[in-house]
Amino acid sequence: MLSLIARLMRASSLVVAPGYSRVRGVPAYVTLSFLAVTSAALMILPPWLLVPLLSVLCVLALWVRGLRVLIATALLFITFVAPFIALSIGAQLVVGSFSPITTLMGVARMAGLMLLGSVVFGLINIHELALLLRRVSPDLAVSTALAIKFFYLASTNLSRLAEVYSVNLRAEGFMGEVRRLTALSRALTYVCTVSALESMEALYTRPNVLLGGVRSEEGGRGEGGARPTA
Amino acid sequence: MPEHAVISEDLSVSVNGHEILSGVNVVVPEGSILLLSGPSGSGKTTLLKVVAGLIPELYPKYVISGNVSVFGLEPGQALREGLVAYVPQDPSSYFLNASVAAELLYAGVNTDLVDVPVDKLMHELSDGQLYKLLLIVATSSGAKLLLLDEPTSHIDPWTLPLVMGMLREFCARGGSVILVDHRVEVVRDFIDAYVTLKGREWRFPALRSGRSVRRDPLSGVHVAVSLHDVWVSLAGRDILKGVTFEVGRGSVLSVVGRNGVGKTTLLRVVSGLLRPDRGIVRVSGRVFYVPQVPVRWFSSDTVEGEVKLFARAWGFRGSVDEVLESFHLEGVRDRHPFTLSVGESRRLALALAYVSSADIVVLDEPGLGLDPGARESLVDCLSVMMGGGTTVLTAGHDLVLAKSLGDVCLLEGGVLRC
Repeated sequence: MLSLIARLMRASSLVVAPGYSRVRGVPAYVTLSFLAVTSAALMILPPWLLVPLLSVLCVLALWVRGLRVLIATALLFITFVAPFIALSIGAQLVVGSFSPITTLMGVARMAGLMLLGSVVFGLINIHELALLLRRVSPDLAVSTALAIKFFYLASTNLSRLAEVYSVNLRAEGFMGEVRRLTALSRALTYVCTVSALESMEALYTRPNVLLGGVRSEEGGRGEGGARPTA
Repeated sequence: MPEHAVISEDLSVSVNGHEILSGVNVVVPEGSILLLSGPSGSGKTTLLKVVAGLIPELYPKYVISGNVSVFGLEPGQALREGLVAYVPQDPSSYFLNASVAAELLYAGVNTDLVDVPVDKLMHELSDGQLYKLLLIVATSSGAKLLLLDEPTSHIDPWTLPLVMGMLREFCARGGSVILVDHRVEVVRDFIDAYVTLKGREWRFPALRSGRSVRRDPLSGVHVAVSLHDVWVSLAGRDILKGVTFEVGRGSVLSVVGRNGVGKTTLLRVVSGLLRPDRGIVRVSGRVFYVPQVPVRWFSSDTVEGEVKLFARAWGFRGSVDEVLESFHLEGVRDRHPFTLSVGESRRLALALAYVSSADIVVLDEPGLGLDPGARESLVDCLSVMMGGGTTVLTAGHDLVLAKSLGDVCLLEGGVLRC
C-alpha cells in the first residue's frame, strides 16, 4: 500500500512541479490567461469542438512537459479520476438513464482539465507569478505562491515518508495498516507544516519577489525584479 | 558608509519565556568571513535568523532586546533592500521553483557555470547539490552579506575548498559572510575570525551496561548485507556501476563520496526501496532506514509517544524508559519530535530502530548537523547497537565520522572502492 502511495506521489510531484518544462520564460499573465480561457472552453464547448481541443492539449502537454510527465499525468488520471467515472457509470445504470455520449464527454472534459493543469504547472514560474500578483495584493502573491509550491512539496514529502514508513513500521492485518496510515498522515501533517514555514522564509528572503525589491543598484534586481531572458 | 556589515550589541533573544541568546556581542567587518560556532542549542541559527531579519518579523513571539544593525540598517530593512541572503541548515524546501533550470533562470545565473544538473527537479538533487545551488543563487543575488547555516554538513570535503574559495572571492568584492558551523577545524584556513556561543554545553551520561539481550534471528548468518555487481541507472545515467561489497553481521560499513555521487541510491537499494537494473542484492534480516530528508519524519506528539508507537508495532517487551535513557533521550521525552535538534532526531531514529529489533540499520548522512558531543553520542549509540548484533550501513561525506565508526569505502563515479 505504502509503496503504491510512494509511486503515485512520485508521479504527482512530476506533474505539479512548477516551472518543470521544456518551455521557459512564458510571462505569467499569458499562462494565467491561457488557464482561464481554456478551462472555460473545456466546460462549455460542444462535443464536436471538444475533441480537437483535447488533441491540441495533448500535443501541447507533450511539447511543454515531455513524455515522462505526460505518462505521469495519465497515471494520476487513471488513479484518481477513473474510479469516479466508474461510479458515475454505475449510478447511471442503476437509475436506468445511461448515456454513453454524455459520459464520454464528461471523461473528455476531465482529461482536458488534467492536461491543462499539467501544462500550466510546467509553464508557471513562482517568481514571475508572485511579481504579477503582488500588484494586486502582497497577501495574494504569497498565498498563491505558497499554494502552488505546496502541491509539489506535499507530493515529494508524502513520497519520501511513505518510503520510510514502508520500511520502518510494521503493519500486520487491516488494523495494523490503518495504524500505519494514521501515523503516516500525522507525520505528513507535521512535515508539511515545517515545509510551509521554510517556504515562507524562502519567499521572505527573496526581497525582489515578495517585498518589492527596493534596491536598484548595479548588479541587483530593482523594482519588479529583472526577468532574465531564456 | 558603515565599516561593519553587522554589529550586534548586548543582543538577547527569548521565546515563551525561554532564553535562547543572552548578551551577544558580534562585529563583522565588511569583506570578512566570520565563523559562528558552539554546541547544538546554543542559539547559532537563531542569531543568524535575527541578522537575516526573519526573527521577529516572521516569528513575532520571539522577544529581542539589545541592538542589531546590518550595514547600519535594521535587519528587516537590510533584507528588504536586498543586502542579505540566507541559506538555511535544511535546504529541502528553501527554493521557489521545482525545477533547477527555472530557479537559476530567475536568479540570473548562467546555467553553464553551475556544477549542478540543471535538467533535474529540486527533490531529485542530493542534499549537497541543493545546498550548493542555493549558495550560488545567494552569491548571485546581489546581496552583500551571506548568512550560511552549516555548510560543511552539506558540502563534501572535496568540494568545500572550491566553495570557500568562492566565498573568499565574494569577500574580495566587498561582501561579508557569516558561517554557522560546528567544524572549526575544517574551515579554519578560510575564515577571518570566529565566535563561540557557549550556550548549553551538553554532557551525555555513559551508556548503560548490561542491557537486555536481544533476540538473535541471524544466528549462523555471518554476512548481513551482500551486493554483487549491482548496476543502477536513473534518468538514463549510470549511478551505480557494478557495486560489490559485503557487510558482516554486527559490523559497520561507511560509504563516503562526493555530493550527488549515488550514496543515497545505494542505501535505497539495500533498503529495498529501489530495484537495481542488474546484480544481486542479498539482505539477511530486517532493515531500518534513517533518511537524510526529511530529518524529522516522526508522527507522535512526544518523543516517548513515538518510541511507544514503534514498541507496540514491533512487540518490543523491554522498558521504554530504559531505551530513552540509553539513547540519551530522557531529558526530551515530553518534547515534540519536531522540536528536537538534528542530533536528537538521529538518536530518536536509532532508538526506534532498537525497539523494532532491526537487524540492519541504514543511515543516510549520519553526521549531518551534529556538534562534537552529539557525534560522540551517536557513535556510542551505534556501538551499543552493533554490540547487540545489529549491522550498520552509513553513507555520507564525513570522513572523520566514517573512520571513527569502522570500515570505509569510497564511492566514486558509480564505482565502490573499499
